[in-house]
Amino acid sequence: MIRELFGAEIKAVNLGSKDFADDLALQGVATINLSWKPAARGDKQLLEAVDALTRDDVDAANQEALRRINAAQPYLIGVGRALDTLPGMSQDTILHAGPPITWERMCGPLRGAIIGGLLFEGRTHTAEEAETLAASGTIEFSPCHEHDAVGPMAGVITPSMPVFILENRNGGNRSYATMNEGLGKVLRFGAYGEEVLERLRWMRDVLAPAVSKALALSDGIDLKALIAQALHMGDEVHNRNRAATSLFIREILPYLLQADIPDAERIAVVEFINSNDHFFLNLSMPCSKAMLDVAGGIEKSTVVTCMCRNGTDFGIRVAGLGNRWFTGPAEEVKGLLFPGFTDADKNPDMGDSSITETAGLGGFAMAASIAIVQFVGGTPADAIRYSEKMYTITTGESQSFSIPVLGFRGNPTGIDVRKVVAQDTLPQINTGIASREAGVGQVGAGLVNPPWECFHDAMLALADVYGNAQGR
Amino acid sequence: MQSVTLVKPNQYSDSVSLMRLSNDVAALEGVEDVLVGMATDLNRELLAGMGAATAETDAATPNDLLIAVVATDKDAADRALEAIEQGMSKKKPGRAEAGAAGETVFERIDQVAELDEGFNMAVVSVPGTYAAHECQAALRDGMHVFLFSDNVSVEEELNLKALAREKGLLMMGPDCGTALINGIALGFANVVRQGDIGIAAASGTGLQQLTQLINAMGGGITQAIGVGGRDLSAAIGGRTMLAALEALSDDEATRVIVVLSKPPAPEVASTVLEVAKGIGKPVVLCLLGRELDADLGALELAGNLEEAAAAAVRLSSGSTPSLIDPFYDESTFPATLASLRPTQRFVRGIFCGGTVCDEAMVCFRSVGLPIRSNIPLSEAERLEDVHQSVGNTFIDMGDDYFTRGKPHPMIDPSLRNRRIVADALQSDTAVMLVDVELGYGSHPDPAGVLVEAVDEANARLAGEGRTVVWIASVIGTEGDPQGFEPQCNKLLDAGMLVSISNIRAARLAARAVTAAGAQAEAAEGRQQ
Repeated sequence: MIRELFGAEIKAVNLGSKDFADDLALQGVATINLSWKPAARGDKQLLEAVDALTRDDVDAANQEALRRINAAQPYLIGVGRALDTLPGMSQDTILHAGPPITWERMCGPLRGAIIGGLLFEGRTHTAEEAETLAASGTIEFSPCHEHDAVGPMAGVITPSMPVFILENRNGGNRSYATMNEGLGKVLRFGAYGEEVLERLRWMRDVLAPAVSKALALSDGIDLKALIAQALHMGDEVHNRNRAATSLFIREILPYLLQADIPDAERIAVVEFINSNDHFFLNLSMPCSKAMLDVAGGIEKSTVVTCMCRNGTDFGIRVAGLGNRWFTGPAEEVKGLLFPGFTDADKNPDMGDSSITETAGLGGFAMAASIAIVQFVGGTPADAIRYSEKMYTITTGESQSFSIPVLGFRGNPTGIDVRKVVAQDTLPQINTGIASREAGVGQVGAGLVNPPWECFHDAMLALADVYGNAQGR
Repeated sequence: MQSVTLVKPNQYSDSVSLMRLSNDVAALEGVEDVLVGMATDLNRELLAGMGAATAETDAATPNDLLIAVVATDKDAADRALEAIEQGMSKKKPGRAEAGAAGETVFERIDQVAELDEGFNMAVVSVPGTYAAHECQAALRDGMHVFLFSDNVSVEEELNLKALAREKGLLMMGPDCGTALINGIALGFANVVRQGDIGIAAASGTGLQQLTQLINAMGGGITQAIGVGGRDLSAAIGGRTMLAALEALSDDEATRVIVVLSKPPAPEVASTVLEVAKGIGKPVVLCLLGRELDADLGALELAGNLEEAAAAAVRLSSGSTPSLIDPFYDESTFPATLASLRPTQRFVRGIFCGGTVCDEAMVCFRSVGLPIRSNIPLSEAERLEDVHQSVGNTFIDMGDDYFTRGKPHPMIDPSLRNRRIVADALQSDTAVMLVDVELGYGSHPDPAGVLVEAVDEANARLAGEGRTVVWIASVIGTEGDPQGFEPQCNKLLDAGMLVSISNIRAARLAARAVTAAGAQAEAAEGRQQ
């Protein structure tokens, strides 16, 4: 009621001319003068789109998205063969990270990984033949995300590769990811030499059956609970998975010991998992995917359900717009390079691993993982600042994950396209940097943001679809 | 000639401070032209006009700062750039309140709302294109809004006012210059006594004059609510006016209500009239320039601001008030008038305030004197060239045409000085009529700035052996930060006639013009 203003103490927020704030202060009025700048980068069309969707029904849709993300309970329940397991997979399908892309526009590491994938599948005998086949149109390239899957870096999944199977026990949806190969010369960085193929065969023939047998003895592994613990042990489960991998070993080891596996293989499997700090990345990613997919398709929701890149383009999807992609050029990652590499060696941002940020982990959880700054650059204060900033662009907080140093505040969860564009605050991603040469591997790690275009275009599309809906 | 153009990406500053900085630097020796402003379409256009546009400035966005200097030589250009640098580094955001918690910098309204410390009023003067977004945020966070900015679309205004209604909040503006809420001045407002008169007004300087005259007549104010310049248009339908009337009608402290507006749309005027008639309190209606032949019931109709003030105070106190106009003195008037030459026959009214300009025109029209203006009451009265006064001319220097890329003359009255000098020196000028606004929001020394022009004009007129009649209407009170008496004394010392009532000043000007005309005709008669 306006009348309630009469007689009440006036406390003012001033934006624009500072003179007005000074005059209010002179009159003894408690006044905050904003350090204001135009919202949405001063783009009027975008601002109108934001305003058209700044409504209670859109807020409610986003709360529903947040509720579903929080309610999801992804469990690791098994390992299967991609061709038998992934929806829409055929003998001629090769999945890759990021949004859709043609062979012609693929970056070096992604091409390398596809060559490796074709060699692994026995489709050709040489890299040259593989390139010809890849360019021939016979092979259908498709984003992992369009098959309920995710993959780090190149993210290549071929039909006979083994994949983790996750199930959301509060919703029934499944998600999938390959198993992590470790560091160095690996397929996900575009390497396709014999040692890479040999490892992939071993993973298919030894690692996958062993883990599958172990999981068959378990009641599934609660990945959300595991990640919650890892966050309190210094991981953010994107670039730091040391604690989570250790916790995973604790979970799986009793079953590995009980399972019917030849001892030599059992030892090799445990050594393989134990020697790879990033083994859990390929579980934190599909866990994030399973959590977020339940928000997909919620009408009017402006919550981001995936952020991913293929080394050329960055793509996002938004809950209210289902499976539509909004893309922009993948950006250069700024960070620390391993000795011997220069900026000229860097490939643009790549991989589906930014699904972790989309779920409130990774760059969003840097305050839980102060040690990460030694790897990606920056200071501990930066890590805290990055996380705090992400609360300003998210719908709410995680009910499962929390950040000790922020008073055990729930992780910032449910990126809201409206807030990203209005505040010109892009999501913070921390990530590995691939060499632009296929097969060289990781050359460093650092920080990157999605390109503005993705959110710009998504916001306009949201306003186009929902802008005229009734009711504020 | 030395020209320098710089773009500073992502360095936002508010336009008023940048325009003021541009003006200050332009006054430095050897500096021909200066632009410091955000890379808006307008500023880029101005930059092109200066011949200082570059590929870089063409690509800049409204969040990028443009700096352009044209100077006589490199030294002057460097001095200008240094002065700009210094001016830019002065301001620091944060809490303006003395002794309040230190370092926190707030960038958005929702951050302030999240403090949950009872911040209940958003004062918005950002560029109009961005204003609706900010106001929507403020209203959704439960804050009332004082929106000073103009250039807000009708659709945006309707949306904001609908949202405000739904939330039970007051949406003052867009284009709202003045309000007094609980005695606190918002925007441009004078310090007046608290009392029992509540006002809802679609006029900034009009509201200032009204509150000041009520104060001078011994009355006092509960609330003075600005509704915005376009609220009473057919498109907006008086939404804030009606909300304000409802609130004032329910307010126990308010016993008398005044409705003030520049000419409203007829259908809106009748809606407001009907609502006003239904209020169980005395209501005074002052619709400048609009004749009403409707049934007014118990409503009082006032033809000008002084009448409105007098009616309100009479209804409040029960007795007819008299206006105390402390510096009004006609004693020199006859002698000055007698010294005019036969060619000097017209008034030149150079105003900062639109409504006081309107009121002066209505006054001239009512005594049958022809007028011309850049904000004419009727199209026939439109001035052909706004830079060239013809006959009795009334110029609103606060009109958009003059304020493109420049601060409003109430903030920087020096912008009208050149026009005042030029018009005073025209051979057919008999009377110079000007307004001076004191109070919060206005320049710290408007009389001092005005007197510079008056002194210069008087010196040059003296060189030609002639004079003009100077009349100033001063909107100000004892409580205003500029100091009422010292400001009036500056005007008196410069030889000006001073009234705190704009209509009185206008009537005096009309008398002078009529008398000058009669004198001239008499002189012509003698010659024949």
